[in-house]
Amino acid sequence: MTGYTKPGSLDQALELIAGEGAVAMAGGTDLAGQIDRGRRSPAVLVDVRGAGLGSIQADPGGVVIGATVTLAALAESPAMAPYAAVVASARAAASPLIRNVATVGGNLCQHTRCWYYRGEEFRCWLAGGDTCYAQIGDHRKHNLQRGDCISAHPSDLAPSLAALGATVRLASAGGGREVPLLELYRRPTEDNRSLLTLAEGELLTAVRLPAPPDASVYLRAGERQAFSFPLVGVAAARRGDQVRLVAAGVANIPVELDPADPLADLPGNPQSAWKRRLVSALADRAIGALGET
Amino acid sequence: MERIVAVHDVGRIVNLLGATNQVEGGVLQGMGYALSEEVVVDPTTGIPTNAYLDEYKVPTMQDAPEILVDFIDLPDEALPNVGSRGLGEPPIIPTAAAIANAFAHATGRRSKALPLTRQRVLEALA
Repeated sequence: MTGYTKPGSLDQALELIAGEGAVAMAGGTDLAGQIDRGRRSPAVLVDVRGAGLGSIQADPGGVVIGATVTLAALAESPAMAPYAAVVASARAAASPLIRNVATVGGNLCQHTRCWYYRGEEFRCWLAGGDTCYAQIGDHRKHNLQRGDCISAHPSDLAPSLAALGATVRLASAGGGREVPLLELYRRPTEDNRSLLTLAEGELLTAVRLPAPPDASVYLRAGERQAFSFPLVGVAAARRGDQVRLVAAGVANIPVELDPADPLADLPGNPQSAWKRRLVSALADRAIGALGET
Repeated sequence: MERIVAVHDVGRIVNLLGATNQVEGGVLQGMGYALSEEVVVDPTTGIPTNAYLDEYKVPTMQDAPEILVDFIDLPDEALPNVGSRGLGEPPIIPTAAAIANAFAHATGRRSKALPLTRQRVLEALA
């Protein structure tokens, strides 16, 4: 039996999240699926949509996006228009119904779609077991790196925000910190299978973007036109002659790629190596779309 | 997928709107069969890995192409009714083959397996 509470302030929310078995929730579109399939069993869901994190604030230095801003609101916000890659990502994710409730914080913190991790019948290495079933089974859609877990990072938003130099604000009852977005993620290890660096009781409260780039673009290859996680998603941003390229779908976490050699650290696994062609084509097109300085 | 033309000879058309809807639905099902729908079975355990609608990919409305539907609409004199033949599954049956043939016509390559996912298309073109 899972409890539910919706605190009316951030302080109250942080206090509740620090409680035993408490899990923060907003749209719940990822969390509900994990609960349904037995991957998570929170004692209490703390709905943070009443915690005042639902606005987008632009200032001369950039823009601050509250964690509970929905993907639909993000895509439509005039403040986001100069950040084309983010708008494209927000429009590409999921389906219109899901985008109306799914939030920025939830999209960044969502868990992998690996069908073994998500499969009720499997308890894979990432879920605390001892076998990566993907490596001995069907990993046609998995990532392009070797390791204990070859699941693919699913967020459309993370590559775009990271390419644009986003930082994330993490708050807890004890205080707060702000880190570059890519530092929100970690590769799972034997003694800590988490894909996030969020500490117990910590909540992602906002994403901060610096001033808009000269150009940015997000391109992705899915399995159909809507409601498909990216097989590969590539974001590119240019400031002057500096290009940043970040990809989803290629490692357990979003990773920055070398624009001169995007495939450098992506050897591929036997059944997933075909995705290298997607990476290469999308990276070429994305960089090409940035235009010249 | 940009456009699919489906013309069926099912005898006399009794309800044009209903018959047209039936063909549109069947064409979309055939398109799923051709491009995205596939049950994946884990080779080690025999357990389906994608027995959920987030992983088993039926076409969405955004995937729907322009579908042009037409009928021969000649009553079948041999039938003991008003001259109408059935129009249940027929719209599904030729659709996947037509799409696979269109792929072969466009590229000169054939995939021996459906659905024609990005992976199979890239492998066929390699």
